[in-house]
Amino acid sequence: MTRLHDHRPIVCVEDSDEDFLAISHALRAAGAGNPIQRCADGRAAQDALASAPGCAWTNAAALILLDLNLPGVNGHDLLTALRHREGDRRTPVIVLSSSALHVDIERCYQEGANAYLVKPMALEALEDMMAGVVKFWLRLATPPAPQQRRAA
Amino acid sequence: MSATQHRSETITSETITAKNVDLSNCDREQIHIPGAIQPHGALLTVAESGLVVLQASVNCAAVLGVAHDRLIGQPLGCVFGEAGARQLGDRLAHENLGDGPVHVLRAALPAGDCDVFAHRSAGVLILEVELPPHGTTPLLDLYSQLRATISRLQSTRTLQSFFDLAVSQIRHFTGFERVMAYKFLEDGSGHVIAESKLATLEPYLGLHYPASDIPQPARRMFALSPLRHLPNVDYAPVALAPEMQPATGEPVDMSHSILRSVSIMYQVYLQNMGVKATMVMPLMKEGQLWGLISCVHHSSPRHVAYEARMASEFLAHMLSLMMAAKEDAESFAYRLRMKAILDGMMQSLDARADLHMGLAGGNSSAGIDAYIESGGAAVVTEEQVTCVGATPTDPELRALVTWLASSTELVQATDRLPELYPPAAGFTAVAAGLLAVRLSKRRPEFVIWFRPEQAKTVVWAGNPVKPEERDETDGMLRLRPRGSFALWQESVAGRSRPWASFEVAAAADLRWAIVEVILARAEQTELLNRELTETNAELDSFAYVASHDLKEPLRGISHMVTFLKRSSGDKLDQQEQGQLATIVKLTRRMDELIDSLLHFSRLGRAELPMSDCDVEVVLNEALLALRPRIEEANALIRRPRPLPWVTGNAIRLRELLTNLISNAAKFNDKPERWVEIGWVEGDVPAFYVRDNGIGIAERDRDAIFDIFRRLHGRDSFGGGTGAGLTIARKAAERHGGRMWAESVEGEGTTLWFTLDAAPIRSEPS
Repeated sequence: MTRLHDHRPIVCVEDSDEDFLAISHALRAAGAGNPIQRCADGRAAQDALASAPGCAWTNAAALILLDLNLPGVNGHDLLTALRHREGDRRTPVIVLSSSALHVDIERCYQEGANAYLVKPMALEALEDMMAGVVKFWLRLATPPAPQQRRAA
Repeated sequence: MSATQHRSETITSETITAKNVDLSNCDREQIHIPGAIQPHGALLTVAESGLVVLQASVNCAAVLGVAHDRLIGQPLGCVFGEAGARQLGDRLAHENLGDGPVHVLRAALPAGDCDVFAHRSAGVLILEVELPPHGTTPLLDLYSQLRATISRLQSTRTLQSFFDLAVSQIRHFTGFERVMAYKFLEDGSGHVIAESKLATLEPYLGLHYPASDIPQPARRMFALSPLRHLPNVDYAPVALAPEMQPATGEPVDMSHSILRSVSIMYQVYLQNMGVKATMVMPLMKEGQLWGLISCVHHSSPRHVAYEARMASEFLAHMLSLMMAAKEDAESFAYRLRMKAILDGMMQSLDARADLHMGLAGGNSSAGIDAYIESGGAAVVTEEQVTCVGATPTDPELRALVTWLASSTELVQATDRLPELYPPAAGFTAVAAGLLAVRLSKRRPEFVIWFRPEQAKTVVWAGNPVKPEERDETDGMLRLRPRGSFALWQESVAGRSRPWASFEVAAAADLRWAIVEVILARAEQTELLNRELTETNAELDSFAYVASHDLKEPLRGISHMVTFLKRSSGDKLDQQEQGQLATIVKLTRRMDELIDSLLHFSRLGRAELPMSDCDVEVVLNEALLALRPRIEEANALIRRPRPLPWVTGNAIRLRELLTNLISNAAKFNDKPERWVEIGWVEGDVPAFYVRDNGIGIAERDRDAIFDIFRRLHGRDSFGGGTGAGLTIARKAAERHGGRMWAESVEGEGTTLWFTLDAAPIRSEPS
C-alpha cells in the first residue's frame, strides 16, 4: 500500500551507527519506503531541527525519530527549540531513548513529543516496535503538510 | 493610726538588754547599753563643757581611791589631781574622740599606773581608767617584732601558710594559750582556718560553728571595734551610777567602750568552752566582716597590757589588708588556671570534634573536673554519658538530667541538692551539690560538676539545728549557748561546699565556648550537606549517563549478533549458532543488571512521597501482576487475614511485595508449593512472606540481601538479576523499617519486614 506521503522523509537523529543501522533496517522491514535522513551528531541535529530556516527535508518530514542522548547537545533542548521554531505547526516527533526514567518521559511529552519509546535490547523487539510506528504514523495517520520556507 | 498598729510598734521597739534577753529576742539584745562594766577598771561619763563627772562606776573607790557617789558633779581634778586634770583637759581638747577610745594619759593612782582612755559618745565623754595587769610581763620589743612578722607574712605563698604564721605570731607576743583565725562562710557559719595552741589543748582547727554561735549583734560589735578584750570571763559586772544619763534620762551608749560589760550569752558561752579570758580582733575585707582572730586563755584569767593590745590590733589590721590581697591572688590564680583549662578543652574539641572526648580531658590535658574544683563531673548527651571523678551512676545521672531539663535555666547551681531533688539523698556522698550548664535548649544535654556532702569531711562544733539549750528549771525560756562544748559530729545533712559566683560564671563561660564550637560545626555540617546534595546530583547524572552509555554499545552488540545470526544462519554449525545466541542472552542480562543498578541507586535517594495505603489492596495489585509467574510455579497463595493500613509509598510497597512473593514462588522445589503473606502486631506491625521452599543456609542469611548476590546457578530457579531482595530491603529501610530472614534449610523461608514510620490503624483516619 503506497500513500501520498511515502515520499516524505523520515528524519532520524541518532549518533550510534549500530542503532541507526538497526532502526533503518527495522523501518525497511516494516515496509516504509520513505527516504531516511540521518543527523549523526549534535551539530547536524541542531542545524536540521533547531536553526531558524531548518532544512528542506526536516521541513518536509513525515516523522522525526529523536534520540535524547546525543554527544554535545541536550535532546530536550533540541526538542524544545524545534517546537519553538515550528510555531503552531507540529511535525510528529517520536523520542527513541535508552532511558526508562520517569522524569525523562514526562519531560519529553511536556516539550511536545508525540510518543516516547524505550529502545529495546533485542533486534526482534525493535522490529516489532518499528512495525507499529510505521503502521500507525505512516499508514494510518496523516501528517501535517510540509512547511513552506518562510520569506527572509 | 489604729490602736493595734500602735501596740505592735511599741512591742517591736521594746529594749532588749541583759536584763530581759531570751530565746525569742537574742538577736536584738542591746549589748551596747549594758549599764555596767568589767571590773579591771573604772568608767566615768563626763560633760564636755566644764568636764564634770555625770556618772561613775561603783568601783571607783577601789580603782581611783574616791567613792563614786562623791565624784558625781565634781571636776576631774578630784581624781587625777590639778596637774593631771589640766594635762587631761589639754589632750581632750586636741584629740579626735569621735572614732573610739584614745589613750590620753598614764596616771599614777592608788591602784597603780593606770592607762586612761577617752572617747565621745552621744554628747558626753567617756573616760575609762584601766588597771595595770597583775604581775606585768616585761615588755617585749614590740616594734621590731611586728616589723619582722609583717615581712615574714608578706613572703608566705598561700593564704593557709599566711594565717598559720599570723596566729602563731599573735600568740607569741600576747601569751594566750590558744589563738585561732576564723572565717565566716556564705551561710553565716564560721570555721577555724588556722590555730596556734598549747600542745596539751584539744585542737579546734577545722571546726565549723553554726551561724547562731555568733549572733548578729555580736558581729556588729566585732566589726565596730578593732579589738575586744575580756581579761576575766568570770567577772562580776560593775554597775554605773546613776543608771541613766542625767541630761537625757537614757542609758549611755557604750558601743566603743573598752570596759563595756559583755552579753551574758557570750559570757556563758565562753564559760562553757572552759575559757577564762579572750581577746578578739575582726578581719575585714571590703568593709565587711570576713573573719576573726580569736585569742583565748583556758587556765586562768589573762589581762593583756595596752601596748601588747596595740601591737595585736595593728597586726590584725595588717592581716586584713594583706589577707584580702592574698585571697584575691589565690582566686586569681584559680581563674588563670580555669582559663588555661578552658582553652585546652576548646582546642581539644576543635581537633576531635567529639564533645565527650574533648571535655573529659586526657593523658596530657586537663578536663572539666579540673576546670571547676569538684569531686567529679559528667558530660551527658542523649547518646552518651561520660564521667570523670566521683559522680552518681549512669541511671542516677539520667534521672537527674530529666529533672534538670525541667528548668529553663541554662546554668543551675546548688549546694543542697537533696532539698530540691529528694532522690539525691541516695548519693550525697558524691553529689550533695551540683553546678550544671545546659548545652542545648532543645535537648536535655548537660555538663555537670558535683561536690560531695561537706559533713563527710568536716567536724562541727555543735548541732546547728538546735543550738540553744533550755534551762527548764528556770521556768523561763532563757537563752544560753550550749553548756557543753564536747564535740559531736553533726552533718548539715545533704549540703556541699557552696559554689562561688566566679565558678558559676566559669560554668557559663564553658557553655558559651561549647556552643560556639557546636555552631561552627553546624556550619561545617551544612557545608557538607550542600556538598552531599551536589554529589548526589552528580551521582544521579552519572547513573543516567552510565545507563545510556553502557546500554548503547550493548544494544549494538545485540543487534549486530542478531544480524550475523540471520545472514549466516546456514553457514554456521549448531555450536556456532548456540554461541551467537549466548551473546544475545548475555547482552539481555547485562541490560537487566544496569536497570537494577540504576533503580537501586535512585531508590536510595529519591524523595519517597508517603500517604495512607491499604496494604491489602497493594498486595492484590502485586498478586495480579504476578499471576502468570504464580501459575507457572503452580504455587498456592495463602492469606490468613487482611493486611492493615500503613503510611507508606504504595509503588515501593508493591514492588517490595512483588519481589518477595516472586522469590518465594521461585525458590521452591516442593511438589505442592505455597506462599503465605501475613502480619503480626507489635510496636509496629511486622509483615511476613513465608514459603515452603528451599530455605537459606545459616551462613547465607545476610548475604541474600547483597546486591547481585546470587546463591544459585544463573539459570536454576528461573534466573534473575539478584537485586530483588536488595531493592526490597532498601524499600523497607526507606520507610524507616528493616527486613530480615528466618529460614530452615530445605523446609522454607520467612522474610520479615517492618515499616517503622507507619503507625498501625484498622482504617485510614
